[in-house]
Amino acid sequence: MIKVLKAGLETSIQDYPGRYGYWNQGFPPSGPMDSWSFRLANVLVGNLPGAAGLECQFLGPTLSFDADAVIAVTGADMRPALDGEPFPMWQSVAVRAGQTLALGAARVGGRAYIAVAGAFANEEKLGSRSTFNKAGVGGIDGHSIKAGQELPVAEGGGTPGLLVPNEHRPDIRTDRSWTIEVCAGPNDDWIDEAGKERFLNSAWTLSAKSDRTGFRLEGPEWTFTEKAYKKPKEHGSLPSNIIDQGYPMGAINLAGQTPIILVNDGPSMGGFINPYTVPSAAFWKLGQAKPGERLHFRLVSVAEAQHLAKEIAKRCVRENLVNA
Amino acid sequence: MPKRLLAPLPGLFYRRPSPEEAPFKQEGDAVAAGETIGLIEAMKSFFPVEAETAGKLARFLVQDGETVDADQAIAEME
Amino acid sequence: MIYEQPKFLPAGDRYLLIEFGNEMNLELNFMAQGLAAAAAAANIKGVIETAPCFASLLVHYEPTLIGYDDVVREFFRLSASLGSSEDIELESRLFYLPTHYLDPWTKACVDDYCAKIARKVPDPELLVQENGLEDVNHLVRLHSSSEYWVASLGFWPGLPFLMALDPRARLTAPKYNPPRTHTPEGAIGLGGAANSIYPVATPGGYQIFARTPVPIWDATGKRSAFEGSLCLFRPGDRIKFVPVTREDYDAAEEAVKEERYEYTIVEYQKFVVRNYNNWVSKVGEASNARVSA
Repeated sequence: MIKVLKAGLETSIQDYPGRYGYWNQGFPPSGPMDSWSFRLANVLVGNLPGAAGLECQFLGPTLSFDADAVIAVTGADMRPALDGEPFPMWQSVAVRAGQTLALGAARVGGRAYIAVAGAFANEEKLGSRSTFNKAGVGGIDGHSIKAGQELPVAEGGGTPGLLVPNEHRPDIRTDRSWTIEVCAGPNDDWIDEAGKERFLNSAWTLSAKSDRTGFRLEGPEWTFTEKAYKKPKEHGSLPSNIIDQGYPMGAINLAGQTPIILVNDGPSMGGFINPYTVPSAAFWKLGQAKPGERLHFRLVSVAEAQHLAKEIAKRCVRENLVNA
Repeated sequence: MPKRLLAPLPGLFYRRPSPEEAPFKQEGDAVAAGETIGLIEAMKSFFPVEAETAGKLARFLVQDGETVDADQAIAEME
Repeated sequence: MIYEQPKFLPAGDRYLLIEFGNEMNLELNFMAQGLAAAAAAANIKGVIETAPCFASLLVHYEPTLIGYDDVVREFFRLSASLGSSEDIELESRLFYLPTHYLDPWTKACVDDYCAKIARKVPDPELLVQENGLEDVNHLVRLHSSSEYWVASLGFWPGLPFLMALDPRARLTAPKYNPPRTHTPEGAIGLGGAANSIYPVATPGGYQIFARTPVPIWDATGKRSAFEGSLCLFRPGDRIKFVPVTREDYDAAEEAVKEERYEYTIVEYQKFVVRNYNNWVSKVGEASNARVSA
């Protein structure tokens, strides 16, 4: 059992890839936003890469352990400390019963991950332990963790003293600027050439009005092809309106003139176009980006995006760990 | 040595409770311990930036609406 | 229009969007649901799930198990094998939902909106005006006369987008502007040409005029009618709103509270598009079941 002393900012239990199979009833997959760091945390403590762990956002939790455990902290640097002493990241570490792990505010990156050997053993909902906070599904009582709660942990072994070498970690940046891969489509033919160029050549600012449902971007105006104007009226009155359609996770959803990247807890459908889609391999960067930081988009093919995802999965394996 | 108020988390710093309202504090104002001098917005939520001890707010080190990092100095207190 | 061939649109590294046309037309939704059912039956390796919407189908696949070109090829083949949309037959459960029309709760919600946010014609009266009906009783008779088709679910998990299957009962209404900040759980509403039921209290933009005491959302996942999910409906279900008095509403609500409410669900029927189309032409409307938003 792990006791929550301070919850942090919407710290939640997630598993990977999350809640699949219920998209047609409107359930998003949820799961960790930076699944690269998340999987490595699990691999470090000997869990399956997708086992249930904690996602900490911008402001981390304080946890107290009532039993010995092997744990790992990866992702954003929240200056973790064990009983007040600096706690090494990207390593498996043995903690003793009675010790307290405290994460602070994110210094570099936005989201940190905590894995514990054996993994969290909260109740599965629709085949996943992931938290979908908005609808109260999964996690602990449907929500992110709260102070005073006790988080159940399954029995697990885990070897302390393992480390993820630098070359297998995501390069979490400090310069407030990110290059995010995008694939064209499904509705890229609604945007004219000038609009496409503007999208790909501008710096977009990540709004503070962003959370696990959507990342709102601020930037230049969008311009459209004839398709956006010459359409049956049931599409809606705005150029970016379309007859309600299914939304892929990662869709760059154009609500009027405001692009919103639909992320892990996003809607399954709606009446706006999605000219571009952020592929899964770039999600770790979204998870580590902070409000006010700049996003640049780089067009890649579907095949290239799929290749990038495979390259990340190859890094998230036990064979890549070394002794600390 | 003036005391500095630090950002409790990364986000956007605001000096006003809402765009229509007056700033919480002006430079030179007296501030009580625990009083809010601004807000930080992250994940659609607002978090208060509070003075730890009473004193005078000497000057702001970041502009209204500016991006801040965790532990970045926001204001100087005397 | 309905496209001659569906359009296959890539959507990132794990999704494919298949568009059947670009209008609000039940036929397009039947095609999307027919293809979803065919894909589920074919159990294609690497296809994780599909989600139909009004005129399209989203496919979620695992690229380490199946490549993009192969997903397109498989769905093209399945779609061709479906033949004409007339030939589509879908498993379709029918739910009878007790419904208190012109109820005090949606009325209070509308009054509150008028008092605090914007003056407007009360929702039932607005529907009467917009659709050239006699009065609100006419609205109730007409709205409760049709079965409703669950075209898709979204906005909130378990929130159904419903189309009236009887063309004579197709009503339209503008949406709230600005939207409501609150809608009572179980409220039934209409916006554009789509009907819906609010699974929980959420903001909303549909005109509301009735309420059901029966849950369509249950976070505990323990109601047997939900078949292991947290929400009642799936695409391709049908709903019939059964007008009940306040007394019957209260009795049903009580039964729900005491966990003895039994849903009325008919599970032995198939929805046959050909038969439906024949019936639609018989009742004297356009045979392609076209609706305008």
